[in-house]
Amino acid sequence: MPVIAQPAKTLPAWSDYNALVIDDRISRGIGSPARELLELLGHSARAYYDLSESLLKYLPAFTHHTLLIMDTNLFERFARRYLGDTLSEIYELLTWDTGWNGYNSPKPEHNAVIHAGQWITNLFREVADLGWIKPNVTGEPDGGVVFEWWYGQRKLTIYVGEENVEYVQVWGTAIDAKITDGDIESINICRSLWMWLRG
Amino acid sequence: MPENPITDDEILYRCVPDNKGLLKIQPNGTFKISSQAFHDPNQRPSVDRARLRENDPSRTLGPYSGGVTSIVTHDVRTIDDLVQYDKDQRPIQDFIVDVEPKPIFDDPNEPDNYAHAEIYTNPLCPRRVFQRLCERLALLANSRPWEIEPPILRDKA
Repeated sequence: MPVIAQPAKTLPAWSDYNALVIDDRISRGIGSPARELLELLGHSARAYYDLSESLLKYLPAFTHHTLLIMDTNLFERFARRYLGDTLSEIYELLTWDTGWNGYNSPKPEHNAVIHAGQWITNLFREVADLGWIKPNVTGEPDGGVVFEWWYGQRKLTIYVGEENVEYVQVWGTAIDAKITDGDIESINICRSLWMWLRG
Repeated sequence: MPENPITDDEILYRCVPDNKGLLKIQPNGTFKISSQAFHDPNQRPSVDRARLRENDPSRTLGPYSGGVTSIVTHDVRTIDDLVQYDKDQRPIQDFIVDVEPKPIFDDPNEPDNYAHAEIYTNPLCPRRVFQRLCERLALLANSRPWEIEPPILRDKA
């Protein structure tokens, strides 16, 4: 029987945030093999909000900086809830075994999966105001994570490895459609890719 | 010249397992096969020659839960835009795409499969070019009806 942490009134904002994350996971029925993943998620979220807490302590109250941080907290909370299904799909890749695609592919790599979870959250932050589209999540038979979006006639594929991110653009649905590719060296590039996808 | 060469009109089966993100239902109820359905760590996606499976795709699916898609050999061989570019987008090398028979016999890890074949490039292409090939193969597969519709689509109908 899982224990759901309830936020006490005296706890800082990030504790409340974590309780929301835990609620999300348990309501989807993740079993004991995923407990370790859950702890990892909680740990990284705590690390993030510890940093925010420190900044809050040392900045004068009610400056625009403080408000910015508070807004960031709200945004992260919103993003995590909005991306809940996608993050579950990403971390589920860690349960896949060798041969998951029926053709002897190695299982997804742990570090690539963690990177993919962080990366998709960053992408959401960068492009959500343009209109979010839930990605298809799958493994790359080289051990990475692949996100795919179909929108109208266009398709965007993103490969997330342990340290690198690459994209492929398909400019139509015909069998001879133009296909281009490139590296994503900074999340800023994603905004133009997203605008391209949405036409 | 390989024995029993693959003719241009031959249909090639590829298994697409369920629940691995290799199939995406679109908001309008249609589906898209992921390019990753054709990805392969050795850059040689496996296919079965329909003719040598007695045109029975269920023999390609085997014990897996999922569907079977197909592409035509001629369409694969006419992929002619696989080019490697340098950083300034100048073409460095062209790659030919082909399919060759690779029957499996007495493999300790695989059941015998006389129909087994592999899609490959000549010369072996870099990873980035192979990613584009997978997109092209997915476009080909998405332009054809399923040989065996995956349960997730049958249940939705």
